[in-house]
Amino acid sequence: MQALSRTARNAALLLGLLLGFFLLMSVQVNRGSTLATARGAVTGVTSPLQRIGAAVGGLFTNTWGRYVGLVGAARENEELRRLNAELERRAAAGDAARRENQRLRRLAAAREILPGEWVAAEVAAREFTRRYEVVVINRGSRDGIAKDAAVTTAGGALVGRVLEANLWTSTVQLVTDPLAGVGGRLVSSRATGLVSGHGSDPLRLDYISTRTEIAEGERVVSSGEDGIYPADLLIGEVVSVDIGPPVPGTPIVSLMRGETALFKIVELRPAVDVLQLENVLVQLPSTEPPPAEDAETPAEPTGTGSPPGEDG
Amino acid sequence: MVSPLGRAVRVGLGLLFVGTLQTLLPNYWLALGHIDFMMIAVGLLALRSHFRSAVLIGAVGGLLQDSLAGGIIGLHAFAKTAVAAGLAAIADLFAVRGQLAEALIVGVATALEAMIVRSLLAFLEWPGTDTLPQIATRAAITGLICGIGTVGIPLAMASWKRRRRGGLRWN
Repeated sequence: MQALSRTARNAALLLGLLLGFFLLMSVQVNRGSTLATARGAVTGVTSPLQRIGAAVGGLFTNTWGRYVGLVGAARENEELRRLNAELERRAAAGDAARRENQRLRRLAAAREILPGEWVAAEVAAREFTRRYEVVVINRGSRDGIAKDAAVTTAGGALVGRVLEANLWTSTVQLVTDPLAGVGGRLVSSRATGLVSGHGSDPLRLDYISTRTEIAEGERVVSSGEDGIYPADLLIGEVVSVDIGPPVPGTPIVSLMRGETALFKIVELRPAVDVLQLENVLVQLPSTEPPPAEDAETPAEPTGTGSPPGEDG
Repeated sequence: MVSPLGRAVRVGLGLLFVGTLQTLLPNYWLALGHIDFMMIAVGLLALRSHFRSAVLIGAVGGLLQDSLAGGIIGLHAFAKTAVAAGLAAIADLFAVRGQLAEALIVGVATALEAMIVRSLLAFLEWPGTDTLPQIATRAAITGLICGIGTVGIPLAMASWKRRRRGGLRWN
């Protein structure tokens, strides 16, 4: 009888916990809430540990990296000298006016791409099973980071947005997360659509009309229309273009002509390799009033011009 | 003799350390992410614990993993609690002897946990990114590392101690 009672208590404990966890998940999924208070209590303990761990790990990596760097320094030096000579030769042969133009374009693009204040952060932790979805960075609300802040690389390529800002760390939703969506714009046609993540598969740009001309390799930047990401952050470049599915109920004759689809299916290679991500910039909440209406028109990025950034 | 509270604190701190390790290591070498250190810790502890302790260990380990990694809280907690309960039940029913048997069980438990996580995500219509081959690879590597850890480390330590004793006699 006592054994039966103990078994029943154990079963009740197990079922209670499982049911509790299931309800906890359901609440988060349905309401889109991340239970900030509950998580804050746990991360209040764990995030300093993560930061310390990341710092110790970074120290070890730096020491090891310097050692390895020393071993290959001579060979690398020789290679760099050769590369430098080649670059000097090319530079001398180039057109001065063209170079001046390119430099000015790059400066203008960089200024327009990263408006406002940004804070640098390092990736402190990542869960392998969610490597295409989220990373944890070593800056939090005490550094001024707020929810939904845009996250980029130093070169201005879009990484994602802050999903949750804790005191010491923040969780960043990557652009490759299947739940992530970014307003995207093709730089040549200026057509806008929705960029969504698909894990390890390429990003997808949806809602681009079949009438829009798209070339492989064309760049896609953020449109700024989603209200989260600033405009003109590099998202990726087009790797494939296909015609979308036909509209239901289309006549067979039209189907055979291929005139029925409304949208193209555009696949993009992300500008950022999220698996190699180490350092990022996080946009801080703006404290300045919005710019005047008659402000200078920003420099328009081009498909063949200098990219805002492709570093990861 | 360690009190139950002292043991619980030790286990909690140990799980916290393991969870931190699991989220930090892939930053330096992504391949290390294939090893589910938390499952190894939860699995080995569950095999050596009573049912109730095993369930609580699974719950705490999973919650820590969820909070450290970001995302849905309760996902890994649900899966690890269920798996830990299963492991404790196995340990009650059968005599699990030897580190190799434990490593094998932990490998299977890792696959089972990943499948539960995948099923939960599908049920909640939440997109997941791991494919079945990736889950199988992770389970195999975790089981292997568990085996190496539980068999290799005690063997290496015993060998080191023997050599040390031998060294003293040599003088």
